[in-house]
Amino acid sequence: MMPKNTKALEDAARYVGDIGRLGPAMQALPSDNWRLFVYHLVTGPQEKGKLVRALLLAGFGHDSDAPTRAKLAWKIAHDDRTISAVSEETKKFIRVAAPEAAHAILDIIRNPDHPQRARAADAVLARVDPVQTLHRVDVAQTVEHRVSATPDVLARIEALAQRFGLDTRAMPALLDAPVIEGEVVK
Amino acid sequence: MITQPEASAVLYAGAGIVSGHRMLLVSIAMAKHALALEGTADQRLKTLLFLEGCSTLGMDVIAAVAPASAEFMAIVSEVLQIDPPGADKRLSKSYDVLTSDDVFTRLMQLNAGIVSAIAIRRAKWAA
Repeated sequence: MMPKNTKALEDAARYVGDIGRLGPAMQALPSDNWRLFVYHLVTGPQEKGKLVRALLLAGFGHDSDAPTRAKLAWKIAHDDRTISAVSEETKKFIRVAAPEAAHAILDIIRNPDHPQRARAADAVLARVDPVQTLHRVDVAQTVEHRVSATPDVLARIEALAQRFGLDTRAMPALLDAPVIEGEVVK
Repeated sequence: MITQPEASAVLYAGAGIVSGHRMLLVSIAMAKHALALEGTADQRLKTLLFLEGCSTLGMDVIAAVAPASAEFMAIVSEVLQIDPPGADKRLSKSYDVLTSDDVFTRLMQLNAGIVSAIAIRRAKWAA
């Protein structure tokens, strides 16, 4: 949904225009249009079409057709400079929105019957100004999920293959397929 | 050897197809190639789940794409080397090359199924 009032657009333009107050990643973007793109991407509704929405609000793509807009929006959104700026702005946005979010979570904690109570409490503890009061250790760990050739998995493979009109019998045998022992009865 | 009218038809087929769809069609051909290779249940399931993820294109579109041939795979492998391993998981450079008019047209010549898939997709848009 595009903002109907021009005040929101003016606020956005004022925000990105005050370049001295922006973070280094936002400052490093090539133009104010790029900064507007990031601003609208972070602050806009997180719904389908958000990239194109941000693109149009940033002043790009007005003369393009829908597929070109989608392509352009994807390209800008996946540019490394945009990714850095989005990360920077998201952190700011969360910091500003934190009091409101904390109140909402506190309401859940105070309600002992709420099913998400434990998780909400955890969320609050994790967000109590971690920069100043916690030593934060980031551990990079790659977890790869692998499935085994169980009967369920084999049935799923068969079902998916059928959906695409593929014959699993024409495919090479699975390397980890269970060996079925028995005698051939003639 | 492909004739000139056939080449023109292939070139026309690829025209106006956005790069994202081009990449998906190439990826579908590669996935089907992978299904014809030996592998574990994990690999086969992930490949089929990838195809399922492409189902927004339409099942008939996916079905129309033929498995990538050896020459098709050789071109794709060569292009993928433009991005050093692990440097950029979004394959930004090789993505641009694979979806460029020159390379994609050549891939379509090698995989007539992609041309058919595009025709099916076009017919759906027109309907």
